[in-house]
Amino acid sequence: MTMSAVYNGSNLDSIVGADPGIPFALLDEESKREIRRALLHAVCVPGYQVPFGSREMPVARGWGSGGLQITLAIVGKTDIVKVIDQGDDEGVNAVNLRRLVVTSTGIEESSEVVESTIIQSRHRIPEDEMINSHTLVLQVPVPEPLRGVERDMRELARMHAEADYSRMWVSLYEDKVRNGVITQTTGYPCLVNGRYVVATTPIPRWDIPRLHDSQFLTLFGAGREKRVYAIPPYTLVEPLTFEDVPFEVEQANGAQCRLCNSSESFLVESPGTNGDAGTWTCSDTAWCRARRTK
Amino acid sequence: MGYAAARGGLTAIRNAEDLVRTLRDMDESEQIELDQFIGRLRLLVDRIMGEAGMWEPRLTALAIRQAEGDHIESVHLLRAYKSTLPRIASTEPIHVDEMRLLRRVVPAFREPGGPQILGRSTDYSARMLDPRSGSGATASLEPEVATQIADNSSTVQTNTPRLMNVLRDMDLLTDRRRTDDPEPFDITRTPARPPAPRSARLSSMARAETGALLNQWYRNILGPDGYLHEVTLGEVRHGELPIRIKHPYTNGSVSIGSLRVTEVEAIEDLNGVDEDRDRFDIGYGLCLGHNERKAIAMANLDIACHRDGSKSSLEQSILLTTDGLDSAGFLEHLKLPHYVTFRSMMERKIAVRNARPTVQKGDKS
Amino acid sequence: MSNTFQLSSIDPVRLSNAFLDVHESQHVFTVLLNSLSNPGTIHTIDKTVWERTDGCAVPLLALLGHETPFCVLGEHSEELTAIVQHVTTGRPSTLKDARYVAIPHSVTSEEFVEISTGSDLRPDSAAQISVYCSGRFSTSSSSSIEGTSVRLSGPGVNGESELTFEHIDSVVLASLLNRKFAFPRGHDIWFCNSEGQVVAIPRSTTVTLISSSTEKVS
Repeated sequence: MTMSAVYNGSNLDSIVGADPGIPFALLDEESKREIRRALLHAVCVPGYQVPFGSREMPVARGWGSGGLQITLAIVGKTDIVKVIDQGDDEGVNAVNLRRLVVTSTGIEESSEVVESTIIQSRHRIPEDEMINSHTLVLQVPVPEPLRGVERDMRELARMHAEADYSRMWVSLYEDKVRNGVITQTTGYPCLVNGRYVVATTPIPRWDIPRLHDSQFLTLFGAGREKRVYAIPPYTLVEPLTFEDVPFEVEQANGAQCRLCNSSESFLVESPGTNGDAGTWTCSDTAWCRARRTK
Repeated sequence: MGYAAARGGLTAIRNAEDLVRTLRDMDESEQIELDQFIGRLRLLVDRIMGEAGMWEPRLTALAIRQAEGDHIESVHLLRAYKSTLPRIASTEPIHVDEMRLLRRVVPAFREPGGPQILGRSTDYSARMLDPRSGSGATASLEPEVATQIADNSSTVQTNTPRLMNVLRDMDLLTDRRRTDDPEPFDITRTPARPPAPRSARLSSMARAETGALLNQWYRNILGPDGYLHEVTLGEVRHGELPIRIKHPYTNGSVSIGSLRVTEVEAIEDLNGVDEDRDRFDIGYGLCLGHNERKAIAMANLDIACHRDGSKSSLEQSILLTTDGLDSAGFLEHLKLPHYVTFRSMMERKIAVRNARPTVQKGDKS
Repeated sequence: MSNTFQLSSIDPVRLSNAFLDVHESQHVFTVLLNSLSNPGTIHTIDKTVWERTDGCAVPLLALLGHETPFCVLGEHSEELTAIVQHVTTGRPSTLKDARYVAIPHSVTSEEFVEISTGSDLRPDSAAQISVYCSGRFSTSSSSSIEGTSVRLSGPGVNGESELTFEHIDSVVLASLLNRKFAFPRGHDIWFCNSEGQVVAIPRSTTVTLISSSTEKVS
């Protein structure tokens, strides 16, 4: 699918096309270089949140401006981009982000992981296998994993600098004691490379094991909080838990996708109406569709 | 079926955009021209320029019109546009004493050195809704005369003595002048975090959302935080400053235009146990355009931060919670689909319930 | 650090060749990112860029922005420094303050010790270094080249891997083998050779010596 066919007549291509001053990938060269320099430090210190001069983007803060800046800073003429939100390529925010990337670069887009080189995602890791030639860009609303136990930024910086995560452990322990289970939902805190605790964005626990020892590079962008961090391939990623409390992904109790029958993908529920039971579908719509057409 | 699950996300977006554009641009009323914003809604334009951190009245007018008057959207349009522009130069440092004064009041003294110019201000106007305002019926001066008075072109006021210097001459001011000359912190290139240099605080506040700064100030007076008390204002100025850059070839100084700012000096009566009780200190505020409440709030919060000395989280609040785009963007992101997170939360609720019988059975482990 | 080169005295061909367009700088960045994310693997900068520009200064030409502090080492580095400065608007600085360092020939241990390793609070204030190596690189365990072989492990490395340098500066090698600073402090190093190949070892990689051209280690 080429850019012009899809985006003809869209608001954006006429703005971008009309102004020859708008650079390749929207950002001016200085901005791109600044983001790139931050990313290069991020991959050398896995899990450390690198501050960067986050620019304002055509999407609002909190809506993926950080992920978008990363994608725009790394993208080249021959890249192919996939953008999903909650696992869905057709979610309106995913569509909006994708068209921003495509109309400002002229590159191709795809809904298939196997065809893509850059995958920008909000809140999910695609079910398909990703290999070393893939780069996963995750949108991060709150990059600070210790936010729940500490508010003061100076103290937070010290805790990461000294790898002093004791308060985090205490809070998980108290959670388990009070509630019988660790009640952390998405964005489960993980220890990366045995050194930094990271916020894994609100990806479900289901996706956490995919970050560990992956073949692909994962870049995390927090535009509003102005930080980037990275998990290189083949890196140790351990969810924080206790020896006798195994890490739990979301249980579905045998539910299956009503479209493709899968019980091995992350499913989301549509509540039933009028007393009917709810139904489940795969969150990863492209994966589900491919399964059905095989 | 939610909008996320519908096919054709692009169609949905396009339809929404078309609707917005058509209803906005094709409204029955007359189209508003850009010079009407600048001429008749100048205070709105000034406020938006200050929050965007960009002096360009015509582009600002365009943004306000495109955003249908939403001030956060207007600021967003301008700042996002700025992200596509290369930075080609920095200005020479400008001393605020070069300000061509359009307005100056000094509450601390009845007769400060230099003039007090009430200028173009509604401070002492009666707040009575006037159905004739906007028509020519209320104009009591000839337009040329009014302009001349407003511009003070007959008596150009620059280098007006500053109350701060008066106090310093009377040895009533703590001396916080630096002997080094550090580069100002650039918040558009590096995120400011506490503990931050003063230039980072001041520039963050200069670009902050006006209401946010106002709220920060007020809650610190009357709210439970109670960091500061009211100051006495030394200078409240609105005027025009020249912009100069270094010529790339001749290296000489070249004037490329001017802009207007509002500047405030706030005098703090030091009364802390470890403070110098026989002296005053000064807080400073400066913002683009004519926006007095913002500059006054800035000056108050500047001195409050300094006196707080990083003991509390005041500096963090100012640096990190007063940007309009950050706060509004994050708030409104709640409208995005969150069904993956929600599914995970529901799962944990069930897990907690399932775990409960074990605890209730008196398991002592 | 004084730079005596005026714009007018820089070789204009060298100067104009040093400008990378937006696609070229993106391409070089991709090589630099991939090499750091996958330490010990060999990546190649496009011939059209590599042959045109000054060896190990290419990462600086691609990455530096306005006022980014950098340093080019070596006795005759003034012209190259001026070129990099003019093309990128980066700021020539002392070794201690530089965020990007290019080592076109060799470096002494006194100099190397000056290069910033960052701090625990700000590991991103460490310098990233581009080192020119004469000779080839090889990653196969049955490598056909003779030289210094190291074993690598850590983030980005699948298990363990081997890397052989036909030639590697002894001071740089020593710094990799005997890290004097605890992670997250350290240097991230790109090694470039005359064929435009780049292989990187970030501070997160554990490096042990297998054999060197001067001595064998069992």
